[in-house]
Amino acid sequence: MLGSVLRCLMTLVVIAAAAPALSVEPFVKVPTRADLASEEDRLWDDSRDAGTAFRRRGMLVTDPAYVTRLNEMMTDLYPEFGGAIKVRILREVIPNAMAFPNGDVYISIGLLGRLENEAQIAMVLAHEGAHFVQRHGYRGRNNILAAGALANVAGLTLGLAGALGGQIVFLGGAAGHGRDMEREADQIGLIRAQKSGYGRADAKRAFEILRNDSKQSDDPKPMYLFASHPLLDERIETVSAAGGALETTRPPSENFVVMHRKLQLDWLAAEIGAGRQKALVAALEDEDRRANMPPEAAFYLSEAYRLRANKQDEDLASSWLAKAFALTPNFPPVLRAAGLAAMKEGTTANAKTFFKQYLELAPDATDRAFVQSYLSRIEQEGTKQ
Amino acid sequence: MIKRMLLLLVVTVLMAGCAVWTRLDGGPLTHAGASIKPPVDWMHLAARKDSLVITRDGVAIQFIDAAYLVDDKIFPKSKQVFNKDTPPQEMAQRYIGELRQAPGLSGLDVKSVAPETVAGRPGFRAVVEWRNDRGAAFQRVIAGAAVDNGLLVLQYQSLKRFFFARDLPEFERVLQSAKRG
Repeated sequence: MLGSVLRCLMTLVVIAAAAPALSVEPFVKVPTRADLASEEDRLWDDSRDAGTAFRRRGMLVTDPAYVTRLNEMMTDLYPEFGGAIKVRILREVIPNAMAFPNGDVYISIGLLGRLENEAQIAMVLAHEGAHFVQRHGYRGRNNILAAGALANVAGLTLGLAGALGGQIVFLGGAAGHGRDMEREADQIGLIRAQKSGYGRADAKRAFEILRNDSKQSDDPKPMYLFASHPLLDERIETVSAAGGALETTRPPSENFVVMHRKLQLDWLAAEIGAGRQKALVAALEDEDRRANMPPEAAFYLSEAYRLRANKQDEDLASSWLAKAFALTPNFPPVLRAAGLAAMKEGTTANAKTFFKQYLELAPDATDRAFVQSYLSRIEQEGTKQ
Repeated sequence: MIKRMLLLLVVTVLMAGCAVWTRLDGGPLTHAGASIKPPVDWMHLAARKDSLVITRDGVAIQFIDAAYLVDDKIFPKSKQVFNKDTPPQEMAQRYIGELRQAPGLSGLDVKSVAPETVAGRPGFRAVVEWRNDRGAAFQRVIAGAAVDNGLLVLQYQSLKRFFFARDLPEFERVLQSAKRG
């Protein structure tokens, strides 16, 4: 990964040398590689390589219907680019989105899962599309180097490389493209979204959700664009003060809610699987937000309390597990948790029932051996008595 | 004279750099709070202070890592407080969560989580898999148990293709021999 960072730094040095002579106009149609300066062309190659690395590492979410819908939304927002801006979903729980210089846009499952509806997602897509159209990936690098801030950027990138990779952070602007370009992307994105029938109230709501989660994040210093508290404050103010339609008038597309709830379920499992219980509590404690999530969210809130293990969390976990059982009695993880709770209370008959149901409903569960060991223990204790 | 001394200094430093790997004769090895009986002719990375690392073909191919972790070394990223009475399955869940926050491992897949005895204590055994930037698949077995007030954890990581199955029996023997050092 360090090699990738150094390669990127070298690319930047080359671009810096050429910077004074460059005049970067926004794209107005799908560019061909021949339209690009050699330095920008190289960034497109790097973008393609970074995308290949994502794919090879198995970091892309493969839900064809959902990904297709995101791409349809992007094409609707930027019709003159006819699908050249391609959207993909990253298996990454940190809320973030990145637009690579070549028009590849990556949105993390942690960002999508937190958003409540299609309109909020459209706002993010419109913003990322604007980064590509305005060539912020390319322009940003010129500005950074012209300002002589290379050392700072390198330090930032090496710090972020842990989660996404230094090259990726550079290419996609994971840490932001700089305030001016972010403002520009917000303005252009909002106009595009409004033109497609989405209202700015949804942009404001999306930013408020992310601001709330950034305040209570598990990350000690969130540096990612959509997880940065001060930047989100500014964005909320900008969107509130902007003109144009306030409310979304466009009806949601068919089946989107069903697809989105499925993706949210994957996100909730990924978030708890990554040990981010604090972030989950922040996201799920709010009743209004849970109303826009799958019913299984009650189970994940219970799990988040149990794993956070603060004072009173044991009671909260127990109470939310009861709610989860009432809402989703056939969700296998609920049955396993109920079995463990029953075993802890000493009601082994109930535990046995729950564990057996769990194994029936989830025959390929990765923790099957553990659950079978609990059943064996219950059987042995029953025989002794 | 000064040039000659500098040259000697450089040679000494370089030689020290070459000496960090020690070939193992199969005798007991204790390091970083863990004690194991390593396979013969594997190499020990003695320079590594916080865990006992051995390999046969190089750490990029395979390695076995053993460590006795205490306090904030157990969950350094999530800052969770370790409780020795935590059930093994939950301990595995917390440890894997910690692993997923490590560089490049957010796409890690859990293949199985099962009970395991480590140093005579009830613990867990998890098998996880992920791919690197070039698409090469790696598998890792993580076996851990609460011992006294810390976590004794042994990990075997290898390229999935060919090497994982070949060296897994060596790991099983190492795991059987593991204890707090």
